[in-house]
Amino acid sequence: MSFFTRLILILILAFLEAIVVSLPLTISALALFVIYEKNTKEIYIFGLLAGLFLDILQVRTLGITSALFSLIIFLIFLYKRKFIHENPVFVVLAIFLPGFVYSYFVYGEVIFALTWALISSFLVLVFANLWKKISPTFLVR
Amino acid sequence: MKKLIVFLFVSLIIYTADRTGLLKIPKGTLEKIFSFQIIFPALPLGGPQSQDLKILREENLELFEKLTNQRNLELENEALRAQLGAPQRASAKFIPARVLEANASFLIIDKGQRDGVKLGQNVVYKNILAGRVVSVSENRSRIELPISSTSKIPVKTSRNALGIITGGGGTMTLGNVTLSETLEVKDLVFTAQNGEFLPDLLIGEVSKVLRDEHALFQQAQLQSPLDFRKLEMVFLIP
Repeated sequence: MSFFTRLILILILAFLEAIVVSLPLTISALALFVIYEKNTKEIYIFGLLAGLFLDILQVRTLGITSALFSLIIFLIFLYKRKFIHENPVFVVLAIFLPGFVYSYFVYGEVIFALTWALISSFLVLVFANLWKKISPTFLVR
Repeated sequence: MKKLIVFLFVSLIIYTADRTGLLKIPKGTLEKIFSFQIIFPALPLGGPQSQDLKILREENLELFEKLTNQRNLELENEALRAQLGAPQRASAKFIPARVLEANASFLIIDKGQRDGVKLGQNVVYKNILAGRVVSVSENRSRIELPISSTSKIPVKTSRNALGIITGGGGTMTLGNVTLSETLEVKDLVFTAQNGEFLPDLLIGEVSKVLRDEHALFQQAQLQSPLDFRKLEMVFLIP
């Protein structure tokens, strides 16, 4: 997938997250990109833009979410080197934990954060697998 | 590590610029572009029953509103009798606002500084408290709901028991009510006079009383007549 296709996909997810559902879809999708992506700079750019977009839609001070996304992206990259990054356990944890941290940061409630992070991880993984079946080059660059 | 520092630094610059108001124009423009409300049409799965339920909910809200008004009139009447000639409170001019987003902690509405919204303003729907403005930008505001985990509201019940409502897990809990006070199911709960909330705004009714004789205080679970996630319109009290 090209840079712009992925950027648009991330921005659509950010829009859905802010207006339609309260699931942490953006960070889960970013985490998925981090796991399969080698070009770290692009993902930081996605994180920055999606964070700003979410801040605008949710009336937060601009820059807070971008900073949080940058930190989460960095941590996943850091742990990706230590684990076999296509190990299913690592993939699930690397998508679920950022969603949980972000939801807790936004809503301040553990139970909601857990539920939404679980649903979001599940949706992102199902969507990624479906897309991979349709287009085998998905997430491969 | 280098990239993290660069992007954190960029975020920090944007944060500072926003706090100082330098990004007011581009932010306001983007807010306006994305300032539309998405309403999903109700699926006709429930048929006439779901329509009846909607009508009943509306009627229920109207009854709550009438009940609140009646109680306020009684209070006002008592006060006037006690102090003849006391000035009546000027009728408030509400600012109507559309709800752009609603979730378990907050609402985002389509009115901001430009429309005269200020931090701390109380938000109601049919005289029932929907929350308080906690963040304002040029064209939008964020409302903290009473069910939010960060919300704390000093209240009094229809039997004049004083307490504090805390939110969390999508519900409200009334706490800090001394054991000597009477607390019963179906008691109405109103905001008490304090700096953050206007007095006598209905919040909900007691749905369950949790009394432990060994504890210092009694607690109760509250139910709001409003379904916060389904609110489409709210009103800000100036």
